[in-house]
Amino acid sequence: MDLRFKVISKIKTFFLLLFLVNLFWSCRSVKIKNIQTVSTEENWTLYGGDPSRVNYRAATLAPPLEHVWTYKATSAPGKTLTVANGLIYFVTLDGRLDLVKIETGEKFGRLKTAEHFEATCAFYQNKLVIASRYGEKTLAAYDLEKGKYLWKINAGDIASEPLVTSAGVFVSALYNHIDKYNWESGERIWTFKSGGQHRSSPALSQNTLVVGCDDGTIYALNAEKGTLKWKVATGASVFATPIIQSENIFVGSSDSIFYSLNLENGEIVWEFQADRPIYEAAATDGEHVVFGASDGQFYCLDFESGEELWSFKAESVVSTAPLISGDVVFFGSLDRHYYCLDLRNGNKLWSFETKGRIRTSPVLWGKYIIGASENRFLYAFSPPDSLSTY
Amino acid sequence: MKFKIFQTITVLLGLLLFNSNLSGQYYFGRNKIQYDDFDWKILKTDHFDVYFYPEMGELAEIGAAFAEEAYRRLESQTNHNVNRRIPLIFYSNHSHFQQTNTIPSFLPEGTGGFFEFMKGRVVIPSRGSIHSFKHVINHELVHVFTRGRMARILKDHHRTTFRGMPLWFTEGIAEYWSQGWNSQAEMIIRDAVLSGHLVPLQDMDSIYGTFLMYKEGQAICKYIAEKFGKEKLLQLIENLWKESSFSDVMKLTIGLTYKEFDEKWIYDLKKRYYPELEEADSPKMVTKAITKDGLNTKPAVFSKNDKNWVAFIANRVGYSNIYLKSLDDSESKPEVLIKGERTSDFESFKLLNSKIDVNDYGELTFVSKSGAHDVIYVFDMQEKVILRKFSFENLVTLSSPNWSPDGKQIVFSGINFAGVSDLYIVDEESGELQRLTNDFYDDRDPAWSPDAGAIAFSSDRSYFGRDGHMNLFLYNLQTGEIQYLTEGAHNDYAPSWSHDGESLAFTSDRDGPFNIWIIKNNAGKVEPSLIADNFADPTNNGEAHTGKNGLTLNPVFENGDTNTLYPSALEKTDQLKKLTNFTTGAFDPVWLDEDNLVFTAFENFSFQLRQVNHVEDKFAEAPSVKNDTLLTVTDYWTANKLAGEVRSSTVKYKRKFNLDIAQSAVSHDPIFGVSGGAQLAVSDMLGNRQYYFLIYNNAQVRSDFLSSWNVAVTRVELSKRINYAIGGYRLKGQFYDRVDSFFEQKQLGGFVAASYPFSTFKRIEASINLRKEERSYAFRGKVIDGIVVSNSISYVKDNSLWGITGPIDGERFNLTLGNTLDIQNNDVSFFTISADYRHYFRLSRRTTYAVRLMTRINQGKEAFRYFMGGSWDLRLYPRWTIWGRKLFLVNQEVRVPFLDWFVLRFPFGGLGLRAIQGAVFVDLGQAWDRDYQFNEVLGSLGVGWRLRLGGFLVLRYEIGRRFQVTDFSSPNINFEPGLKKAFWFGFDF
Repeated sequence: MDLRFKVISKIKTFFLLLFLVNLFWSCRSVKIKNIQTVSTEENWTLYGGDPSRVNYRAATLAPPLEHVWTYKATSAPGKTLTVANGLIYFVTLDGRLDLVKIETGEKFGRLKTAEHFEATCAFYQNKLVIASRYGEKTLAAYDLEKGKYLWKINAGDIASEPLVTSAGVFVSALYNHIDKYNWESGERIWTFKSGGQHRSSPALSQNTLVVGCDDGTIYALNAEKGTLKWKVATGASVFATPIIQSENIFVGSSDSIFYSLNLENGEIVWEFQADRPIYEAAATDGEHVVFGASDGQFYCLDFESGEELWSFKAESVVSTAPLISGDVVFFGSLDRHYYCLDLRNGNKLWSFETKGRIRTSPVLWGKYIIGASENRFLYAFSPPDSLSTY
Repeated sequence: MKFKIFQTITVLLGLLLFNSNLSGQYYFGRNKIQYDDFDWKILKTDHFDVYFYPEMGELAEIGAAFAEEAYRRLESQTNHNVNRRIPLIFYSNHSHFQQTNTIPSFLPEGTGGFFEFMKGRVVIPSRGSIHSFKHVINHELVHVFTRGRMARILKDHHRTTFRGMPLWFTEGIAEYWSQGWNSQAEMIIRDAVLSGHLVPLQDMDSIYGTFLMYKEGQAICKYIAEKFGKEKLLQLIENLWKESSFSDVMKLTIGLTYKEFDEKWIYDLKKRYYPELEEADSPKMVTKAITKDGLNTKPAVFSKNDKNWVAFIANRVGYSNIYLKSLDDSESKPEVLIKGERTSDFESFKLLNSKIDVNDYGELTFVSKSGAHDVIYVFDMQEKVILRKFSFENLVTLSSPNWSPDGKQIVFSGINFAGVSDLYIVDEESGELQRLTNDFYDDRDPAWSPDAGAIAFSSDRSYFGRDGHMNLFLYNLQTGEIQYLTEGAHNDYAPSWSHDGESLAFTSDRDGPFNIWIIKNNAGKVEPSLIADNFADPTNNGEAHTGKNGLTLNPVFENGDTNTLYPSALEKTDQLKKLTNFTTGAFDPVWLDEDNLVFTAFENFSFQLRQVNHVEDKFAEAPSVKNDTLLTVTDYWTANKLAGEVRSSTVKYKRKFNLDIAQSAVSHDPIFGVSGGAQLAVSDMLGNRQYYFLIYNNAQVRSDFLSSWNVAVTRVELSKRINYAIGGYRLKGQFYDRVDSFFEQKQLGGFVAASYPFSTFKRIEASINLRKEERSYAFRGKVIDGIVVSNSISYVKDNSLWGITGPIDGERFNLTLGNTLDIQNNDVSFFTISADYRHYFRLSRRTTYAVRLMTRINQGKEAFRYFMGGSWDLRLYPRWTIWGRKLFLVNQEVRVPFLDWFVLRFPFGGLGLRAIQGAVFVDLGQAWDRDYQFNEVLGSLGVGWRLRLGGFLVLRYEIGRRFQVTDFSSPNINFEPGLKKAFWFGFDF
C-alpha cells in the first residue's frame, strides 16, 4: 500500500509540475530587442510578397539547391510564411506562432494564443498583424519590440491573409464583409458588405482593393473609402487570391477558368480554360503568368494574351501559390513535392520530396527558399554557394 | 466462479474468436462459409492495389479504371489526396462478396460495398451492371476521401475527442457526390413527404442506418449544395474542428442549426411535392389492395379452377417467404407457400431483385440462394413439393426465371464467375443450358412472348446504357437478333406480355416517377423492327447493319435534312401510353387478364401488391406518347479499362500482415490486485489469416514478476471452408471458486480447434487442448499436477431471427460432448455433456414465445461445477449461487413490445428512449452433484423489461417471485414471500 501511495503521489507531482510549466510556457511572450532591419526589399512580409500579391522576386535562386535545415513545429503550418529581418514567422493550425532563425533553423521564440490560426501573420514595421480563423479576438497586432499585443479585436472569423500597408490593415472576413482597420489602433475605418464568405485574400494596387468571394464574384473596392468600384461574376466560388500587375488582375476560379481582368473597370481581358478548379493564387513577372490547378496541372501563360506557353503535370493537386524567382518558378503540391521549373520552358530543374502534403506557399528571402509540409516540418533550401545567377 | 479479465480474454481468443462470425451470445451464431478458393492477384495502379481473382480479370481492370477516374475527380473536388495506396477488393458477384473475411459480420443482400477503417480497405461486389459497379466504387471512395480529410483536419487542430460526422451526412455526401440525384432517390423522398414519414434532420437518429436515412442524407446534401453552394459540403468537413456538435458546425457553415434547417428544407420539399397531388395519385387511393402489411414484391398471377391467385415474395414477419393469396377474396390472408431464410435450400429469395413465375400447369419457378450458388426451383403449387432444381457450375447468381408458353423451358438472367450478366434458357426436362447473350451488358427481367417467338428483356446495351439507363429489347429466338423496343435516357424495366401478345406492359421513369406503361399494337402483336424503308445511309449504302454486339441498327440521321425521317423504335401502328399516374412508384406489372394488371406499389416506404382494373378503358383514354426515337448510333458503348497515363502491373497475392487493433489495459481488483498488459491482433489484407497476441503480468510482489507473465498466441485460418485455429499459452494466476475457495493455477499448453459448416445454419466444431497444469487450492492443497488433455465436439444450429433485444423467431441449438483427462497422473478425469436448445415461437409480428431447455453434466474426477442464478439463466436468484456438476434449466418467456417510444421533452432539451421490450417469464432449474443433492426444483416467475442502448448494451430489469416445487409425485409449489428484483445487462436468451 505504501509503495502504491508513493507512486501515485509522484505521478501527481509530476503532472502538477508539467501543468505549471506548460502554463508558464504558454503565457510567455516574445520580444525581440534591437531588431536589425536587414533589407525591406528582401523581406517577405505578407502573403504574395507584397500588397499586389504577385509572388515575385527578381533575383534568381536557381537549382541546385541543398536542403539546409528542417524545423519541427507543433502542428501543420498555415498557407504561407512571413520572413523579415532574418526571422521566419510561422503560424500553425493549433494556435502557435513560431519564430525561427532563417540561417540556422533554430527556434527563436513562440507565441501561443487561445485562437486557432488558419491564416498567417503580416509583418509591418516590427509588428505582426495576426488573423485568426475562429475565436473571440480574431485580429491582433503584436509589437515585437515591446513583446506585447498592441490591440486585439473581434473582426469576425478570418480565413484569408491580412494585407498591411501604411494605409491600414485590409481583411476579407469569412462572413460576408471586407474591412479596413487602422494598423496602429485596430480601429475599424470602413466595412463593406459583400455577397458571400471570403476565403480569398485581398490584393491592393493603385488604391484598388480586389478580392474574390465564395459566391463567385470578384470585388474591386476603393481602398480609401471602401466603396464598390466594380464587381464581376464568375461561374463558381473564387477561393484563390487575385494578383495585380500593372493594370491587370489575374485570378483563378473554381469554375476552372483563369481570368485576366482590367483593374480599372473589371472588363475581362482574356480567359483561360483549365480542366479542373483553381484554388490557389498565381504569380507573375510581367511577362509570364503562372498558376496551378487541382488536377496537378501547372500552367504558364502569356501575360498579354493568355496563350498557354507551357504546362507541367505534378502527381497531385497544385496546392500552393507559385513563387517566381527570376527565371525559375517554385510551387508545392499535395504529392509532397516542391518543384522548381524553368520559367522559360517548363523544364523541371529540381524537386524535393517532403514527408507530408504541401499546402504552404514557398517564400524567398536572401539566399533561402523556405517551405513547409503538413506533417509539421519547415524546410529551408539554399544553393551550395551564395545567390547565383541562372 | 470468478475469473480475471485477461483469463477470460484468453479463453475467448483461443477458442471462440477463431470463429469470427459468431453472432448473438455465447456459442451459437450462423456461419460465413468460404465455398470458393480464390486465386487472388493484385493489380497495382497509381493509387490502388486492386485485389481480384483471374476469372474476373476484365471486370477488375474496368473497376480499376473507374477507381482512378474517381480518385482524380475527388482529389480535385476535396483539394486533398490519400497518402497511402488504397486497397480495393473486388468480387464478381454478391455471393462471393458474402464470403469475405475482411469483416467478421454477415453481409445482407442489400449491402452494396463498404469501406472499413482498420486497414482502410474498400470491398465491393459487382452485380452484373457496369454502371452500378462504378457507382459503388465512387461512393466508397468518397468515404475514403472525406474520412481522410476529416482525420487530417482534426489532427491538425488537436481535436482528438471529436466523435465524428453523423452517419446521415457521411452516407448522404457519398451518395450525392457519387451519383448526384436520380429517380430512385426522388421516389423515396417524394413518398416520404407525401406520406408524412419524412424524418426531420433533428430526429435523424431515429432512422439510423436505414435506407431512408441514406436517401434523406443525399437529399439534404443536394439541398445544401443547391441553396448554399456546392463548396459548402466540403466546408462542413473543414469546419468540424470548430464545434463539438454537427448541428453547430452546420450553423457555422450555412448559418442554420438542425432545427432551422428543417424548417426551410421541409417547407421547400412540401412546396415542390404537394402540387403533384393535383395531377397524380397515390396508388392506394386509385387501385385495389391485395396486401396491406410488410414488404411484398414480385407478383406472379395464375388461374386455377376459375379462381385467380397471386404468388409473391414478401417479408412480413422478419423472414422472407413465398406467399400465395387469392385475388378473388380481398379479405383472405396470404398463406406461406415456402419458408425462406431458415434452411440451406432457401437461404434467400432475393426479395427485391428476382421475379417469380407460374406456368399453366401450376408450377412455380423461383430462385433461391442455396450454398455456393443460386438455384432455380420448380415447385408444384398443388402438391406443394419441389419438382426440380437447377444450378450451374459457372453461374453464381441467378434471377427472374420466366416460363416459356409451353411450360418446358425457363429463361433467366445469370451472372457468371466473371461477373457478367446474361440471359440463359434451361430446358426443364433435360436441364440443358443455352446461352442467349454473351457480352458485358446487364440483361435482366426476361419475359417470354406468348407466341414463343421472342423474349423481351431490360438491358443497358443502348447508347444511354453507358450512364446506367436501362431500355427494353427483344430477342428473336429464331434469328438470334436483338432489336430495340425502347431507347432513351430513362429506365425501362420488367416487361410483361399480355396473354394475347398484343400488349407489353413495363415500368418506366421516362417522365418522372416510376409508372406502368404499355406498348400496344392494334394491328397484331408487338413486333418492332428496325428495318425501315426510305432511309439512305451513306456509310452503308442504305442498308441496316448488324453491329459487333449483335444489334441490328437502322442508319439514321441527325436534324437538318428535311428529307430524313426519324423512325420510331416501334412500328407506326404501335402505341406507347402511360397507364398509371402515381406520385410514388409502380413496379413489376403482370397481366391477370387483358383488363387487369397486378403490380408492386411503392408507398409509405413499403411495397404492397395492388391491382389496376379496367386497363383497356384506361389505355384508350390515356394520351399517346411519341415513341422513342433512335439516335445516331456509331458504335456500341464499352467500359474503359486502364489506359493512358495510369501505370499498372499485376502480381500474385502474398500475405502481408498488419495491425488490426492494439490495446493495453491495467486492471485492479481489491482481492487479486493489479494486472497490466496488452493485446493485439494482426491479419492479412483479405482477413483470411489472423493472429492474436495477449501478454500481461499479474505479479503482486517483485519476486513474482518473472513467473507471473501470461502469454497467449493464436493463429486463425479462415480462407477455406474448414476454419481452424491453433495456439499456445502460458497462464498463471489466482482464482476463486465459490465452493472450493481460492486456488492458484498454472497452465502451459496449446490447442487446436476446427469448425466445419454444413450450411449457413449448421456446423460442427471440435477442439483439442493439451496442457501442463498445476492447480492448488487454499484448503485442499495441490490437486492437479499433470498433463491434461481436453477434447470437445459440438454440433451447432442457428437460424434465429433477431429483434431489438434478442431472438424472436427460429431456433438455436448447441450439443457439446467433451472429455478431460490427466494422462500423466490421472488427477483429472471427467466427461462433459452440454445440450442447449432454444426455440422461438412467433405469436404475432411483434410477440414471441421463447423456450430454452438446457442441461449440463460434468461427471468424473475434478469435474468442475456449473454455476447458475441471475438474469442470464434462473432469474431472480442471486447470481451464481446455485451450483453443481449437473444442472437443468427451463426458461419460458413471452416477449412483447412494451413501449415504442418514450420521450421526455424539457425546455432546454429532451431525452428519448426507443423500443422498451417487455417479457413475462417462468423459469425452472436446479443444479446438483453428489455433494449437493436436490429435493426441490427452483423456479421463478415475473415480468421484465429490456432497453437497448447503442449497439451492444441491453439493460434488463426483472421483478417477480421465487418459488420451489417439492414432492414431484404430486407437486407442491411454495412461493417465497415478497417480490424479488434484479437489474442487469445482456441480450435475451
